[in-house]
Amino acid sequence: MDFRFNACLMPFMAPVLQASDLSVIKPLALCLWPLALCPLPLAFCPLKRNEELKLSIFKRLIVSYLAITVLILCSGIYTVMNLGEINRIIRGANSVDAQVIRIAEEIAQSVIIQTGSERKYLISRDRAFYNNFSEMNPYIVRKITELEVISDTEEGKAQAAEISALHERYRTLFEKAALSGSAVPKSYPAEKEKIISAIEKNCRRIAKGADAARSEKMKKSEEISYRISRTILFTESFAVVLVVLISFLITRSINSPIRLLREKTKLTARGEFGSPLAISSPPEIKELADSFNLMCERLRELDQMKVDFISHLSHELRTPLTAIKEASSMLTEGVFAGLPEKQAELFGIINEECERLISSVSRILELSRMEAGMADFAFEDADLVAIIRKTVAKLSPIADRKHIRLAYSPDGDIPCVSADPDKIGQVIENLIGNALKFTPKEGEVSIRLERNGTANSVEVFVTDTGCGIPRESLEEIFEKFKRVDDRKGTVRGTGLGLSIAKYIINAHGGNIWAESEPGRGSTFIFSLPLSRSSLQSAVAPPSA
Amino acid sequence: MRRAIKEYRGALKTEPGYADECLFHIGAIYASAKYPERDFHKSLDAFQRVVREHPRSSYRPESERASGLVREILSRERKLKDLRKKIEQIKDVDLDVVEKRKKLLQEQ
Repeated sequence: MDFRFNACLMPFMAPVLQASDLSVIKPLALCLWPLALCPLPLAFCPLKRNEELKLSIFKRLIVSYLAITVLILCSGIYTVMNLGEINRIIRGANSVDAQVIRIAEEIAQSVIIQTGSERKYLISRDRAFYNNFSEMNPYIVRKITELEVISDTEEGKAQAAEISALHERYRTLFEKAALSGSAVPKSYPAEKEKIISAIEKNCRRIAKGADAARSEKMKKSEEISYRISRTILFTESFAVVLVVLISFLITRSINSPIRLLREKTKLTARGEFGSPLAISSPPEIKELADSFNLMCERLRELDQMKVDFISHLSHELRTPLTAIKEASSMLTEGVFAGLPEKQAELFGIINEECERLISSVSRILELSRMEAGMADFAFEDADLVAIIRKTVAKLSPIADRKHIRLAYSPDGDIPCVSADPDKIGQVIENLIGNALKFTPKEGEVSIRLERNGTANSVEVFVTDTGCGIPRESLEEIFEKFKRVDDRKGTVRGTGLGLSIAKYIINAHGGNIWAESEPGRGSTFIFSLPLSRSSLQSAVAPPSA
Repeated sequence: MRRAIKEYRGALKTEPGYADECLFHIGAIYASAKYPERDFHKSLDAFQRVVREHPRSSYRPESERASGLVREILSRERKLKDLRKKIEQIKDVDLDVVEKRKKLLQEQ
């Protein structure tokens, strides 16, 4: 399917250009050249650099069938024009040639009858025959005049004029003979016979000429008919070939990518995602292929997520369960019987691991609920300063235990935001908790609040002096089960905390993101929109 | 009648005194419609001989009237013959015309 404009047209034009019969070339060229102007070849052009020129299946069909219609229309116009020509020729043959023949015959017959009257008069000298002769004159003269008028050739008109002159001579000659009494001049019969035979000869010549012209016209009309038949046959055959070719190309352009898509679908169903499908096809199929590629990419991500999920879950659930099992086994076996402080330690481990297990399961359930749209938010005019202060107070013992300085400094007058205090508290706790987890001893975690005047929001900054996050992972960390470093010995977690935080902040109409440089700590920032009352008070003039 | 003519012709030779009467009757018989071999020329000849050869005969006036009538008859016969000839010629003309027209139609 690697033909293009000229290459596509040449196979069709070549037989026409090579045809030896010029009468065929002209009409066919007239019929076919409109095709050269139509964008039919481009409709099937598969070259990649012409991707933007590719037509949709609908447009291809329209263009293709328009081309066929133009072809048939041209053929029809050509046929109608030629039929008009045939009609004109036949009408000419009937109205001119047939009438010329008929009038010439009538003149010849009338002259014979008139000579009969003339001869009978000269034999009998009967006045009745003379009257008969005289009565024939106007009729013959009228017919000769008709012949002169109707003849469409100069030769025919000249012959009609000659007949008229001969007949005039004949009448004069007869009048002289009639006046001469019973003694008809001896030269009369010979002279008269000469004139009459000249008239008959001219009539015959005119009739033969008209007959030949009629035959010529009939022959010409037959030639035109044959030409029309041949042209129609060729054009219709060409149209049929074109229809078959177009149908084949369009079907192939649809079928080929669909086959590739089907094969790719089978591979995808088997879990073999491979590389994205790159097919050259009409825009509709191309869009389908792009959507399919997107779906495959998404499936691949989901598949990877599933793997990550199982990996994390097995780690996060199995680790506490193993610890609980080991501790409970030791207690059951009485390993530390008589050592109550050791037993208390084991009970503490069991309790701690149970708490962790419950926390992990709760987070998974919470995220599932959120994703299912089942999370409830109780929005109200919330005081972020109070929420943060409460959370800082809650986490201060952990910070103290790890010898980390937890600093909180509200920046001036912070207006209320529209938020669910519990959910926002959960987000802040998660962010500070993460910061404390990843900050080494003697490090610092600071919380800062700022009002963003341009965006009518409040931004919360949680900064730590931890190990930092690679730049390429700054966005990934908000995805489910994504952890920057999964190596052994790193801090444990479900990998859901930041996903939940992002979901909550987004549900509030805010935004959350991270800024970091590896080795120099990280800053997590989230913004929340001001509450309606805060906005109104910001707009209203200060009261006196 | 043929016998009578024979008898009258014989009497012309044997009885010359009755020649005028004999000639008159010969002329009358030749002009008679009942005579199968009627001949107006012979009848006229007989009557003219009476007038010419027997000027004082009592048959002369009758013979003169009869010869006038026979002459008239002969003249009308000649005219009739002439007319018949013309009719034949006209018929020929008609046949000729028909023939020519037929020929013309065949040529076409």
